[in-house]
Amino acid sequence: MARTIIFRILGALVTLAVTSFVVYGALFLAPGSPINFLIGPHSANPATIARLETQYHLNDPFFQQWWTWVTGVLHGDFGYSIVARSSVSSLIGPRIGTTVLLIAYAGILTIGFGVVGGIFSGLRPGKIDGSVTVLTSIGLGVPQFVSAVVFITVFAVNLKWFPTFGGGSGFADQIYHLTLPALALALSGACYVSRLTRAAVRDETGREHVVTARARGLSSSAVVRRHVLRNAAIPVVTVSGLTVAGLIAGTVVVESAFGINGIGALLVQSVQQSDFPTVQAITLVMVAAFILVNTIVDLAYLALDPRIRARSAAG
Amino acid sequence: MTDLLRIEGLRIQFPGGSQMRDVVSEVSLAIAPGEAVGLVGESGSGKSMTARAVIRVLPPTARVSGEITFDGAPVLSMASKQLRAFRQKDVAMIFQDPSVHLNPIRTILDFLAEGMRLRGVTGDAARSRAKSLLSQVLIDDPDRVLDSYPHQLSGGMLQRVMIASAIDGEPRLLLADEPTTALDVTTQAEVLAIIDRLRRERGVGLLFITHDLELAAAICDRTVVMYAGRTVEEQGSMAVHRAPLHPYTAGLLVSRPHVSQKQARLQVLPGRPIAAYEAPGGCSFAPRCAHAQPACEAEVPAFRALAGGHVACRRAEELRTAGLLKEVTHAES
Repeated sequence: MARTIIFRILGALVTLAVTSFVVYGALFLAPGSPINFLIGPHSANPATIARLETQYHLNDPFFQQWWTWVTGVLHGDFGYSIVARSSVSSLIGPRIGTTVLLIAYAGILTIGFGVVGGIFSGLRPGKIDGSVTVLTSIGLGVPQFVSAVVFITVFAVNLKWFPTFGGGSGFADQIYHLTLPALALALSGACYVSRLTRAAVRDETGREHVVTARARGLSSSAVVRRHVLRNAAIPVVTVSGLTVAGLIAGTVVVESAFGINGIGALLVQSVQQSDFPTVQAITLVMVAAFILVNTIVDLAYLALDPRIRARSAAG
Repeated sequence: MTDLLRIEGLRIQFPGGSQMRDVVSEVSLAIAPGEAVGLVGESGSGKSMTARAVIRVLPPTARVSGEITFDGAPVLSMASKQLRAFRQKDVAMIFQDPSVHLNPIRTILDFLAEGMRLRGVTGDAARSRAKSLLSQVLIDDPDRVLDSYPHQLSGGMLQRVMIASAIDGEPRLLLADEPTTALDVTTQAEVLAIIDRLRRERGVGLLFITHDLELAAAICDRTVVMYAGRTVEEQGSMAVHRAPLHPYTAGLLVSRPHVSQKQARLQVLPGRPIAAYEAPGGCSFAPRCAHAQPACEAEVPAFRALAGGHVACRRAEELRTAGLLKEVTHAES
């Protein structure tokens, strides 16, 4: 068991290292020399060029350059943005909190609505199930850029329940400002989690071991709790985790649509401005977050399912 | 003496296409306290559904009518609280494939303790009771088994665990739905011996479902034979073998291979077993019966008393007197 956990974590670290290699290497895949790309459309004096060359160690062998960058990142140094004329860390630092809050908010909504809706519709065939299924089918097909625009039009512009723009300041105000963006971000994921939860609950309800539990005289709430929901939790946790990880990429769209000053919007802006050091840094942060969530899901899976535990102990 | 379990005119239907289809059309049987009754029939004849109806674990789409009484109390109209008490105290069921009847993500201890918690036994007391239950079903290393998950144990071991859990509540009736069909032959014998011993020691009534007439005879006092969702014969188990009353039972008996006689070719019942909803208007067995007459197809024969048992065949006396049921004729198919 302990060995398995260590293997999973090592695996995640290797993935992360390989990813950082790819992210860094992308700089060299761009047309022209890296230095042109780093400078972008701006004119640069020889001093800046020299500083960039030193900073990126462009005269070193590639592997060493990557190593220098990675060790810098590990020390919190993501490089220097020529466009913004400041360190990348100082660009990301103040914005990342907003993005993390947005993802956490949307994650809670995704899992909350998804799991609760899925359980309800899984356990109550009939009208509730029918309406939940219709709603989730619609929600599932709505991309985030559409839900964002629709939510702004309906709830912010017409009904004026929520602000149209910005991230807010102070926790309560931030929550208020982030509600619509979080809903837009969470919508399709919540629908997906709901449908999967429904299927998992249905599937478990029909299992023969549930018949055994009922035949022993367990109350229906104990049967549902101990045998249906507990077993359905295994696929639900997996998909919820992956869906929440998917929200990370979704912040790019939603932050831009709602004018939220997070790292998603910064990424879009940096790409437009060819601010390569910032793009690299944000990409790496997002990928790291994605890998982190995936690793947590893997470990949760081990904790929830003894059969997987046995298989990985044997293998 | 009142019957422990009484099933009268049981009918079970499931939605199939646009109408309701019979899975069980007419089943009647009774079990006295401490008596073992075998319920024999081919796959699809409705025997498992009958047992599931007794403990009321049929799928929610099933429509059940007729009467089931346990110790005089009507089972089909029990409210949920009564039903739970009935399942906890009076009746227990073991199933054909124990590997799917145990929750795969819970340990054996958890499974056994779950039943005990209903009776207020928890913690260390539950563990030691679980150990003693496992030793009663002849498990040598109860500690290892208790801490195992179902996938770590063999089918025979899991069936013992199911039996242990069944006897934990000291039920008065045990429903055993082909408890040995999914096991290999040597394990089958052990598990049967355990069921038989526990039943005799504890005076538990047993409904033993099987497709094997000989197995039913070995375990049970009486045998009930089902065909296409109906009970067609009921007799003492030995009598069923010596003098079957229904042509179907007679057909089953001759179609077994014999170890003592060398047969060039096994005798078979012509045709295939049918489900209750496919049954024709009259006697369901008529299309396969060598003794069928046009009148047999006119109406469903009544299940009536004959020679100490019951039979649903209008020609039963005639065939019996003529000695035709021993040498069942069979169309070569």
